[in-house]
Amino acid sequence: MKCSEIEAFLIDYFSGELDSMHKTELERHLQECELCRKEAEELKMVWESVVSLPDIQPGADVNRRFYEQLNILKTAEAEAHAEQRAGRILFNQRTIHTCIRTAAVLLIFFAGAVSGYLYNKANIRVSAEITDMQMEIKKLNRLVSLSLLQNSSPSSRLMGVEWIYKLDYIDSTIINALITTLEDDPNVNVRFSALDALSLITFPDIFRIRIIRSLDQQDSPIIQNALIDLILFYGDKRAVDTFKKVLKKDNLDLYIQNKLEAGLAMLQ
Amino acid sequence: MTDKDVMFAVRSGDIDQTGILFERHNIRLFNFFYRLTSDRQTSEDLVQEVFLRLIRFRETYKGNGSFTTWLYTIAHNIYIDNWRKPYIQKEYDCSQEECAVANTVDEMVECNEKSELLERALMKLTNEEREILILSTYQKMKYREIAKIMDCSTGRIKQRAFRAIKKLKAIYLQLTNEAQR
Repeated sequence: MKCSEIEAFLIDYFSGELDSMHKTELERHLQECELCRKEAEELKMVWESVVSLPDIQPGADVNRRFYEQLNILKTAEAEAHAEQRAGRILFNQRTIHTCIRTAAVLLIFFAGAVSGYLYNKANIRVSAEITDMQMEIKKLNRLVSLSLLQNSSPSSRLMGVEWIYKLDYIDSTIINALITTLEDDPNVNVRFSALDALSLITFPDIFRIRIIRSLDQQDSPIIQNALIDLILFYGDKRAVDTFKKVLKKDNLDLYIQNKLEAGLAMLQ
Repeated sequence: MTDKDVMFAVRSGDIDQTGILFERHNIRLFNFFYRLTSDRQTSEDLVQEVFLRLIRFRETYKGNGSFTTWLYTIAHNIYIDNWRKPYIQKEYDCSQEECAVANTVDEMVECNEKSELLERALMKLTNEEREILILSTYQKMKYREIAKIMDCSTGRIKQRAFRAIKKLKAIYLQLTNEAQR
């Protein structure tokens, strides 16, 4: 083994990942070459120092906070499941009523259609095609929104949020996409626009926790301001910890600081 | 129960089991973040974030590879997210607890000084270099695991690790010389 080759093996040697053949070769070279030996010894000394850095104990508060958060999540998930179950029961009851009504409507429609069929065959075909097209457009709107929200251009992502207003219904995928935009989008205008849309939507409690937590991720006072308003509108006491955490930030805007303090007083 | 078994239980909806994973891993995770940030409060917050994400994304857990690799992939992503945020890196405070094993006052002083110099030297590496070194030395992970966590080739990780240890040695020696003057 040459001096120029040992670098490639030293890193595996230190971590114990070097195979026995290369290890023997490397050790032989280190015995013979004083320069390489000195370099390897010094590097090993630093390596071992980092390896033997002692464990530091986190504060006792870490455990308490974790179990508190876990309880909040469990409650939120239980509530979300309860809502889903309630939604399903309601859906079942509605379905029965809807079926009866639909059958009656269909009967009338069928009678009308048969009699009208001979009278205006062409008009019915056109009407069915229009309904199909409207359904397709609705599906397309949803896809366009989600796709635009993932675009690399901020103006496209802004447009993605705008498209959401065109949708007939908002499901958890759309809410999730909006919250992810609020949490992660690098552009402040896009984040603000997503927040604006979220403020108009009613959604399960589990999403509210994410919105509360996202306050800690925001560095723009405009977003912080609007987000605090929304959280205070919820009146959710689980925001207390997040408010306190944000208040500890060094570079916090004075207006936001006052608003958070006032908000804390309201929530507590 | 292995970590994998517990994680599968969490994935199935028994999120109470996350407590077991927290008890097993929170101290090492805290130390991982603390070695990277030198900030106790930030590190504690990031540990909380890891377990919240673990619950939030539990359905993405497939059980391929080691659980620790998956856990530290979450930790790595959280650390990356934090790079975007400007936070003040506090001066490292070498606490007595780290040198609790020292027998005499002299040993404790020496241990404190060495650890402090090493921590200061570590903080002079780039974020990436520091993370690779901490994962490979302090966390004793294999290079292929680190490559998986950081989403790059094993060769690149080894190359960066070697460069980092060389740089750390140079900085550490320089700081030691300065301290002795």
